[in-house]
Amino acid sequence: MNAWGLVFWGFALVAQDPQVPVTTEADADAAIAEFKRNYYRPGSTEDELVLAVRTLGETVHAKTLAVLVPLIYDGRGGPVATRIAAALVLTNFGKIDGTPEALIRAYAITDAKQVNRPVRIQIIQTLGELKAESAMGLINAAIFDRDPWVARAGAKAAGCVRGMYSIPYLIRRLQSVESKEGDKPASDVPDPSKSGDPKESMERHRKSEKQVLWGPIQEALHDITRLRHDCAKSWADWWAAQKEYKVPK
Amino acid sequence: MFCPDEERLSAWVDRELAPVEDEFISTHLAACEVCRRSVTIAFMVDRESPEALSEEGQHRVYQAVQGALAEPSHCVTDELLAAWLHDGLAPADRSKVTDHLAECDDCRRAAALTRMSNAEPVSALGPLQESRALNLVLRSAGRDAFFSFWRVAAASLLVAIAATYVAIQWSGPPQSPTTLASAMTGSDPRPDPRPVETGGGSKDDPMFVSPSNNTPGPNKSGAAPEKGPAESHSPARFQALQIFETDGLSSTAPGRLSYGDLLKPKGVATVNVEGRAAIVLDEGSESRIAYAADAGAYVVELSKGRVFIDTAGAEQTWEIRRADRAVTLRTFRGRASAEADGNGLRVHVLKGAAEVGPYPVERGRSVEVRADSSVMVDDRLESCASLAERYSGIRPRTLLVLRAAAGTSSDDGPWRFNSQSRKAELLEGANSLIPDCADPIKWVVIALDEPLKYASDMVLRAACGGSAGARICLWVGGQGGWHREALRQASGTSAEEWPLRELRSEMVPLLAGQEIRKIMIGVVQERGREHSLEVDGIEIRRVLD
Repeated sequence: MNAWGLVFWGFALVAQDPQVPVTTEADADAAIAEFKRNYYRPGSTEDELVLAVRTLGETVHAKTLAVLVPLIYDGRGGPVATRIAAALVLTNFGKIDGTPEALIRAYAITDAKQVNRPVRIQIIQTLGELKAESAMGLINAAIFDRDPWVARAGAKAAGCVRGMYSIPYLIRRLQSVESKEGDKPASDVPDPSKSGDPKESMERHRKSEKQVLWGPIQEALHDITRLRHDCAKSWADWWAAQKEYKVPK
Repeated sequence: MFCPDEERLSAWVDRELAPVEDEFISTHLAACEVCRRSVTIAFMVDRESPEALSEEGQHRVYQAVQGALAEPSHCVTDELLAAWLHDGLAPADRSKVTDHLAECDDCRRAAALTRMSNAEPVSALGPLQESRALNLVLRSAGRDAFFSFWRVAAASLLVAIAATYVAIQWSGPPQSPTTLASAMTGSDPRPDPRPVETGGGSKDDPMFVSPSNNTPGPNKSGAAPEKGPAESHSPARFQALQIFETDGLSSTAPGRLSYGDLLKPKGVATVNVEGRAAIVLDEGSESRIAYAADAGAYVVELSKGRVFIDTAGAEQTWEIRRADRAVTLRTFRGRASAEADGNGLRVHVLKGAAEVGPYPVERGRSVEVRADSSVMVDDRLESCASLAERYSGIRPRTLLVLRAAAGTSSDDGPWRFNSQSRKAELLEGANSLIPDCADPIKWVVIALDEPLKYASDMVLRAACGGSAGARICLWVGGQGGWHREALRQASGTSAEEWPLRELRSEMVPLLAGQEIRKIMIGVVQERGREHSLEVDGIEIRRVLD
């Protein structure tokens, strides 16, 4: 039996997700040197900048992390795509201490202007991929973000991290989207229709906040609790029965 | 490269040289076709001189050759050996040839020599590679390998004599031995390559293999394409290239181009190389293009005129050749022109930069290889500016990277895909694909066998039919799914074009280098109104700046 147990655990270990190898300092230095050559080459196109960032992100090391993080919040003069790429590649940096904290710092520096929305969403998505428990505070705040797409990313990240402290925030946002507030359109993307009344047209076919958020929040609650409830009220009742905590207001 | 004189070559044949000099000439012979041919011919003239043969002797040779040919040979044929060398055999056949090579010294030497023969210009290798390759061959085959080559060559000569003999017998009175001898010794042992002229050629032009004969995908290690007569003597290090599109040549269909195909357009012509680069052949130019797998380089051999090269923003290696002169642009990203200048070759960098040897060569500079083989790198701002202007007038504006048809599947050709229907249909589980659209969407789906890497200058062109004023959703998927919306203005059949730059997933845009494995074009069924959509062909093109 012991032998079978060893075999079982052996398989279990092998079957785990392949880890991205952590590279040596020399590799990191070489990757950074190459990155600087490519990124700061005069006349580089946006695609070349993005590819330079993505290539650097393949070398997982604290030194490359230190180069990538500032790219997220200031882009070093590059376009938004490079900032998104820098946040995206950090999904491989789970084994490097301080990655979630660096992402949180980058998020804090990034303001809520429209141009920054994809960067903020990508940071939250990366934190979710990293299952960063230390980022729970940020993820919970994102669930309450005014921008439903940031909130959607927050809900999905909460489902990935599976922290119980996200439950009340998710329930509260669910209550919000099930109210009248949830009926407003979730998207401010310009309507492609140039003729007619764009606003009317948008309202006619765009999803509401409720349609954008209800599903991901339900999924996140299910991922955390392994339970299913039909509406915010059922979730709130269940939660009140489980804990002394009140749903945040 | 200095060729040894005839005396030293003769001494080498007779093994009369000191070891150091002997090795030097061995090395030289491995790289120099001219000397190798001289030695071979000299050897054969000494021992098998046709001049020495009387009519009776010729007849005896003919009989001997016929007898030899009638005997079944256990050795692999030259064709099989060539295919084995180029990984062009089925596994079972390959195994048979490998087994035979393990037993047969002659074939093994022939294979080794084929690799080393001038079909592969060893002189193009770096000194270290050349020395290593030579050592490998000499170690495995020994110097006698050349004599094995001679045996093969002698056999070919005997066959040629026999064939000539038969021809003489059939065509009338025999020619004098002197004429025959001079024909044998004075002729080039290689058959006339008879290059293919593609400019204004016929539809039967062998430059393009029909799509059904193509090796699928832009796979450089794939089997060699069908060889026309011109290709049978292409240097073996050059492989055929997948061509996505041409303009100004006899065929515009996708296909393959090999080194054996001489491109001789009547006017200006463009060649789309694997969707990665564009070659523009200027008026009056004559050139060949290929891929050198050993150097990982695209090759342009220029016989006449001028060609332009555009790497479409990617970093590539290009080997530009003219006869035995070559300029290799490493880490080249940009545009360049190459022109035959007298007996020399001149390359101008019009945009971007490249490394030529140890030197970085940037925009406005040129590299010239003169007739005396001296190399000059200098500033040529004015020439580059005028060439850039010329290129700007004739260059292609877009570069085709994908072409597919809805409602069909393709298992061969450069693009392999599968599409169930050309009419948009509701798909199960597709409701969540566009999170910000509440209405149902009918989709036309095209799944790609090989992923396409996204670049921000890509546009999707689709031949669409169906309702006018319909909202169109474009969705591409890889490891994620990105989408955008558009409005179809036209009714009936129309060509629509949508930039892929605006594709987003959860409001995050698609980034350069991300993979696209599936393309879906959908029509939104807005409340109260049903819209239809039919898609025929789609193309993804890069818009060149």
